[in-house]
Amino acid sequence: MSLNVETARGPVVKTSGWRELWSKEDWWAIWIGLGIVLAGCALFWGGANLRWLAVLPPRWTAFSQVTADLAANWPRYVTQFVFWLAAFSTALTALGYKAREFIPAFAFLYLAALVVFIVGQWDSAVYYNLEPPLIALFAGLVIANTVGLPRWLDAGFRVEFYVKTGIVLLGATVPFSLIVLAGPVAILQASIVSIVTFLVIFWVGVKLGLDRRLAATLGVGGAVCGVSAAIAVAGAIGAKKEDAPIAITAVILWAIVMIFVLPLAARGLHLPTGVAGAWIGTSEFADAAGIAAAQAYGGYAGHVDGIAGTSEQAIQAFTLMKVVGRDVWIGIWAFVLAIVATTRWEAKTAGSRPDAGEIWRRFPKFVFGFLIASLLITAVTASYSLADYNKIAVPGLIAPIKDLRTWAFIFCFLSIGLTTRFKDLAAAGRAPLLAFSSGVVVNVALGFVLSVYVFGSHWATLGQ
Amino acid sequence: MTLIETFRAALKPRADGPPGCFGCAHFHNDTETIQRVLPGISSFSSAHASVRADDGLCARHDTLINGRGSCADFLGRP
Repeated sequence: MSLNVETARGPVVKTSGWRELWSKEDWWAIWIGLGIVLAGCALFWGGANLRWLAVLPPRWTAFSQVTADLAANWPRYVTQFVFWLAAFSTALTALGYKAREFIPAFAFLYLAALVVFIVGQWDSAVYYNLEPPLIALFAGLVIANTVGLPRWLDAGFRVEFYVKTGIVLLGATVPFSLIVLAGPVAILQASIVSIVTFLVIFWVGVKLGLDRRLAATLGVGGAVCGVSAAIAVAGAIGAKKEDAPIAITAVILWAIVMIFVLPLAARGLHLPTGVAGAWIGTSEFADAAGIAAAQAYGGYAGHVDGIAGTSEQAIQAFTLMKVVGRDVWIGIWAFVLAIVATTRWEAKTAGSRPDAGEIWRRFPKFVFGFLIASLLITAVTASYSLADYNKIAVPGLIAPIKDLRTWAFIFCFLSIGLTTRFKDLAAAGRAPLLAFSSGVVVNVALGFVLSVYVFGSHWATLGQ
Repeated sequence: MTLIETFRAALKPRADGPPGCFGCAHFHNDTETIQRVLPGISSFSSAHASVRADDGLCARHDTLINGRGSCADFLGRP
């Protein structure tokens, strides 16, 4: 693909300040996610709940159970489809997409998600490794890289939007006390791994002759939050326009490999779900990829002998490690590297001097939604005893939100595959891939040691 | 400028300066351009993500920049 931008003459868009509230996906994920949580709370107070809307296919052994469920519940599926369509199309229209492109794309996505969900609910699915995230990703990759779909359908395949919406909903299922107690350990572990991984990639990259800005862009891509970190830091330090695409290619290739490798390796080692979630949170490169891997591993809980813990522990440990431990620091990385680039590296003709405002501007705002959702549910259920919490609050309030979260994540997993066209990716070159891969090796090994041996007991008993 | 001086300057409020990249014809940060020159961005991130802020491409210097700077090659938009 040509990187020539001379022909680009689109309008300049300023989204900072209050405009960000309706012009960034992060905030729309908050509005939708918190809207669901608040609706759930309101219904719960009124003695009702979101269960009717939060329909999902049942566990089945014979396919007739699926057809019976669809025959009985089709109005609920249709209503849920309309609900998601209304919420997402409102947001995407505000972001500049065309509803006439989004609607058919999302209809395709919802039907595909339903099929993936049904396959994943099969009793023997775990035996055949048919975990919904892995099926969705694999099916999407096969479709996108073989027969292909029209490009305009990409309007409905919004990986980041769906995963952020899912993470905000995830906040409602994580007690705030857990974030407070486990957050510092996550930050400590993630910081150790992030700094070491960055330094390894940067050092190897410079030794291989890469420009420092490219080496730094690759470094944060491997150390902090993948593609998002790479584009954030590339912009902050004034990297060449070819640098970010190289980092994006490296991140995508390794992130997809790790979606399959990390759960399978953890399964082979019979790691407890919380420990595996922490390892995935430390060593995956993107939120969407990590959620896919963590949810796939969580699916083994209770189905594979020798794997202790719950499916929620895998997701919670991953989220604490990745979102709280790594993602929220991207602004600081961008700010610090901008200072280093300005004072220590070769001068650029264009660019701005470092600005502390970058820390706020680049903050992944959806994290606020995650925290607020957690606070809201924790406050609403604060007066319940543990027995009442499990008997009343879980089925009436938390479980429906969790099921809607699962839908959002499946939309995301399918979208990863459907938007990843390998032939479109920029050629990364041997040296950048070698530098990034060296960081991957160190990251995975160090993440394993910290998750299993140093903080293993903490993650194995997360939330208990 | 030393590391400490740069850090101190970064914390100070901005004074009005020369016209920045947002008014420059070489600067492009619309979503379509970003997605075209950053292939793969939508797989694990987004041109609409907060972390991108208002970053755009300087077609004059072939760099990805945050749009808050200025340089001698400024060219006013028509």
